[in-house]
Amino acid sequence: MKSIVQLICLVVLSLGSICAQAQDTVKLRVMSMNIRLGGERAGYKADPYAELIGKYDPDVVCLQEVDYKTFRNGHRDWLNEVALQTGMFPEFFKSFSYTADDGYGTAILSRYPFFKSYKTVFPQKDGEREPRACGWICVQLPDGTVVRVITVHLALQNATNTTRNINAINKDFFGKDSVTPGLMVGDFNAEAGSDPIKLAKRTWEEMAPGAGFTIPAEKPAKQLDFVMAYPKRKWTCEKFDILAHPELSDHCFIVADVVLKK
Amino acid sequence: MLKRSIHFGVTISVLSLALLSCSKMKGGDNPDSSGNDHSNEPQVPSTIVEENVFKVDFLTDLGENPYMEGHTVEEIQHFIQHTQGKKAVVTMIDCLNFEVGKVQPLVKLAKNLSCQPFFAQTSRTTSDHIPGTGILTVYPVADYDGAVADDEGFISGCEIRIPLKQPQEVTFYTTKIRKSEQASAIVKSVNGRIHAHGVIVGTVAKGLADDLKQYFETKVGCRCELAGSSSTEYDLFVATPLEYVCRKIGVRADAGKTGHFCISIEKLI
Repeated sequence: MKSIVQLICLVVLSLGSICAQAQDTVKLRVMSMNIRLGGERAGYKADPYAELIGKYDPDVVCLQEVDYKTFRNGHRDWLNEVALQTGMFPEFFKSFSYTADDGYGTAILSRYPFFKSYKTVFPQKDGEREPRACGWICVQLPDGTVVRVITVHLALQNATNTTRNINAINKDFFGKDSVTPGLMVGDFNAEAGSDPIKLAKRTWEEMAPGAGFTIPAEKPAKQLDFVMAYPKRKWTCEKFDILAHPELSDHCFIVADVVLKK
Repeated sequence: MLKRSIHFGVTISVLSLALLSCSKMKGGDNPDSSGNDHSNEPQVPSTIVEENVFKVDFLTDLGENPYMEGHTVEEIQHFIQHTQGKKAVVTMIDCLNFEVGKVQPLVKLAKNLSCQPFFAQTSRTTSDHIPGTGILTVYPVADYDGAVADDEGFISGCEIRIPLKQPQEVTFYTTKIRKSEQASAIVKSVNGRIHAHGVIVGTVAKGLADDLKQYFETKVGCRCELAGSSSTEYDLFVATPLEYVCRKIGVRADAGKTGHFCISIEKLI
């Protein structure tokens, strides 16, 4: 009888401890998708990307190479089409326009509404084919935790320009707020171990380092896409999946379950 | 004796500096704000310069019920598309609540109207039904600013370059004031922007409107206009920096049952 009571007490205490720990943490599922030239490989259609997003049910999707009403995508509002199909809330961060009425850039889809967003435009340097910009949102999650999520598509031409982009992001992101936790997700156009990634990792913590290669999707041979978290030692990664869909992009997509210790 | 004199002199100097800095403070919750000194306030001329007037449409039933319970996407779309005369630079839709995981009417409107959608949450919730105000604009948004103020309230707004005689960046904020203590917390969180080309269009619970107007005019150093009726749960308020004036809060004769206000604001200088 005594041992049964002791066992019940032990079970109750353990459950209590687990609940307390759960309240001290918040979990987010983030997805990174470089969709290549507005979704060119899928005929610029929104459906296949929306379906994939629906399958994984993320909290935030960070997108790169998104077209808005360009000539090549048939003047469609691709991002809002995906938003309508997934029930997520969109924001488009334009890097540049081909004409007065269109745009190309990065984007975020969020399960929850965000009360603030911000765009960092990178000055176009010599050798760069096109201007770049990244954007982030501030979301208050249902439990009251505020996190920031950045979608990035960094310079391609050389490590100097990519490094410059990271410095610009850090300057804007931490300029007025070095407290609110953040996630930096997307296409860094730099390989693991390169100078730009080393610079990023001075401030940010890479989630699931060495998890695998992300490009090309047909036969991945290097990693250009990352999930990074701030502040260091506050985030852990429970799951990091690399999804190869060469019919949708030359990049693999990432789905990561990350946990923030409050 | 010398020690006492020095101590006295230092104390007087410190007190003088403190009084001097208080008298120079503008806005915020300081009772000595510019509200008591109107000498720098731009005078409001009777003649309106039409090129400096811009419009905001605020769709609302001035209640707490979700706007979509009484209205449809098609009705709202029709209202926006059939504006006579100068079009609104921003359309706000009160109580256009966000249902997590569901298709958002705001996103549907944005796609149909080739607009950008923004959602300004208006209070904290742990449920999947998030109260807030929808914002639509065709203008490029330079910045979507906002804050959560002490967990008491939210404020969010779009910075848009609007086509006046001299194009001007204006941040269009919205918020919902349900308790009197919310106002100061919210204003404090965006204080700098409110004085520099920030316009707030929102709703305030019945009974708090007059206090809110007085707060904006005497403590914050802004202009504030109200609109509403005795039968509604909320009143509309429009707060502008002193360089702007709300010229008119009216309704459209052709709007049918679409609850709304058409707000005309002029930039004075």
